Amino acid sequence: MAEEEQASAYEVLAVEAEATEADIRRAYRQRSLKVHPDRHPNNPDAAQKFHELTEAYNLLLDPIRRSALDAQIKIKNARKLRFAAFDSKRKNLQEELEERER
Amino acid sequence: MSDLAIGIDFAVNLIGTTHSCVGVWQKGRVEIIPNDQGNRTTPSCVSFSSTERLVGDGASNQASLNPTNTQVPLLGLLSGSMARVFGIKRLIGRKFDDEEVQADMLHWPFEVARRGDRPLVRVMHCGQQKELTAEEISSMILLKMKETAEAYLGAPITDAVVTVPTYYDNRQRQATHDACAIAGLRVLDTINEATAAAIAYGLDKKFYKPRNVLVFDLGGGTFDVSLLAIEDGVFEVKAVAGDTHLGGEDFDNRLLAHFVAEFRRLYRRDLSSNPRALRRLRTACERAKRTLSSATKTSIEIDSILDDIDFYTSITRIQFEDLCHDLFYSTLKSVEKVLRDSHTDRFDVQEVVLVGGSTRIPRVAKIVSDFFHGKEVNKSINPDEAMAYGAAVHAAVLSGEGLGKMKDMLLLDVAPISLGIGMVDGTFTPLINRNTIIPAKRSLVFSTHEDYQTHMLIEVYEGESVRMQDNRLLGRFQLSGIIALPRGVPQIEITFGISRGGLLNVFAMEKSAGYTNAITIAEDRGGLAREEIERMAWEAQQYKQQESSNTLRIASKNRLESYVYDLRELTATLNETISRTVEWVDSTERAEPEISAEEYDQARKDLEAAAFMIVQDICGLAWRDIPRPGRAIGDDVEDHSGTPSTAGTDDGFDRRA
Repeated sequence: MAEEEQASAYEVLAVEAEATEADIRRAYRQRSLKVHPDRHPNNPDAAQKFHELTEAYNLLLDPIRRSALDAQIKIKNARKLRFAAFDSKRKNLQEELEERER
Repeated sequence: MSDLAIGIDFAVNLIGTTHSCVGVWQKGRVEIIPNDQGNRTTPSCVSFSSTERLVGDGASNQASLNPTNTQVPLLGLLSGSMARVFGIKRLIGRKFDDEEVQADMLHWPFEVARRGDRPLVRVMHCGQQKELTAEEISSMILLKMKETAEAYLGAPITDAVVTVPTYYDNRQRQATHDACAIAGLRVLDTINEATAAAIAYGLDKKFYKPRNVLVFDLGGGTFDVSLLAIEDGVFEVKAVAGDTHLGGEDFDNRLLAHFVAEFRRLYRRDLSSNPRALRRLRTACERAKRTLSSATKTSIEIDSILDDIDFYTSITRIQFEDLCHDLFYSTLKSVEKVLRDSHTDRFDVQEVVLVGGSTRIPRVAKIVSDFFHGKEVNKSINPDEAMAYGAAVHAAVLSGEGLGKMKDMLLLDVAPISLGIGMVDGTFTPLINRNTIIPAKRSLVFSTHEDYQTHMLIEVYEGESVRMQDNRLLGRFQLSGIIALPRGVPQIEITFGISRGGLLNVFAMEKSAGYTNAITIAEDRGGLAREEIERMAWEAQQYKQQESSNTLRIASKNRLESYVYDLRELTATLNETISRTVEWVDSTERAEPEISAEEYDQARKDLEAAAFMIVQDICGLAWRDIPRPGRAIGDDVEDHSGTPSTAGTDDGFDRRA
């Protein structure tokens, strides 16, 4: 679960994986205009949304955590690619295995 | 109810004197609201006398007339709210006659009492001794600002944004909220002064590239530094730092000490044991400090400062700068801290904005400019009104009033001080680090310290030290019902949430049992209890009623008096005319030649006409519908003024007839 949440940090901020720090800051300011509770006084979810945005922002601004996230995304993408390259038999096998592990 | 929300600046703006200022967003711009005296700022000053309580201009006027009276000047207000915290910090573990405590109390022209650990201001009001909390005194000023806005806008106001010094801690912010509650104001948010100043600076400028703006706010009692990134109307505070006990007052203290030493050298007498002499010298020092911002040399002349000694001396700007040298340079520590915390190089700061009265000291501006490699510093914003301007803008955004023009305006503020939990080994674990953007929340999982422990005391602290004792205790709460398990096994999740206005909420949850216990610092913080706030709000109403009934009483008395005097004047004129006629009639007895019937008739007609005019005037007095030039009382035509006057007219007329 934590993985999925972290993986979406780029999505939360709507920035590319190659975004520079300035891009991230800019995106954060633009996005916070849309979700900040000050702009949505009647929406109880706003605080939560803004919190997620801030978390994502802090994560991407921290070089260590960002590189860890990048690595995770890389592994995930690599796994996806490998999985796509499998033939149907191996796909089935892996799916079964994952099903049982769950 | 009106949708308008006001912004109140509640700060030390001018050197040595504190003024409050109120603004409102109307018709697409900020209006700074003048008070009933027509001034755009109101001295944050309350004075008590045997018959009345004065707030604002009236109080400060009285202060200059009678400086030894029981007034609580602005100083009392702000250091009042600070006294809560400083007082507690300084009084704990110290004796009351401790030098430092005594020194602080000497500076205040009012008496400080203590109840529990809370310092109270002792005043004489209507012949009764009263002990007031700093919140109550602050609320009187806030109420005055509220009434100023209501009178101007013609509608009741309940919502406000109030400024606080950036480096105010949680307890001081809470005290500000309490003061507003007593004044009947709902606080939409508290806004940091430096941030408010930054809004005033940046609102009408369009920055398409993000700009780093450093706001350097050195006021009368507090010092704040904020670094903001401004881009397209979004004001992101990157870091704040400051000192709640550095400002113009400290420079005054240095000057004071200098002159006391000089006096001792010259006359071998000690001024410091004489509070009245010290107070007079302090006022002179403050004036000298201000003069030295424009002149290079000034003199101090106080007659009969001690017995019959006249103290005449002088000081140069260089001397003054030398005395306060270390204080001036200590501001740079906060500037450096802000730059370090926000990972910003000093070359990346595009603009340095100076606010607060003490930045008028040339040396301070020079030091800041030199720190940024000779960068030109910006002094363009009005230091007296900028904060109220920023607060009004923020109030408009929060109340939805200004959404039209300011649809792209947003303020991202930060928590100024780290918040966390004290651990068993005496260390402090922060949950919310300083400079975290608010609103924010963060959870950490803790466990028990002993085997089969079922209760846990959670102590919430605020501060930057790793040692628990060096930080400030905000509140403590007990978590019970933990399942008895070996130590380290139970999982207790503690969540800190900072809401708008910088107020802290703490939740604790035993994860295995799902048992929750939540405290808000507002509930358990050693501050004012809800009942106390309600009682004080009620008392504030009483004051107000007492004052308005007092005003009505005085107005009625004035009306009666003016009527009586006018009536006496008119009846005197009538009397005079009558006696003149009587004398004439008497003199006609032996007159040669005889007076003709026509002449008597003519005299009667003249008298009738004169009497008619006067009676008409008397009737006019009663109804006040004939404006008479030169009338002393400028009071308005009021319905009830007719009733007693009519009775009076009949009276006066009967006696004449």
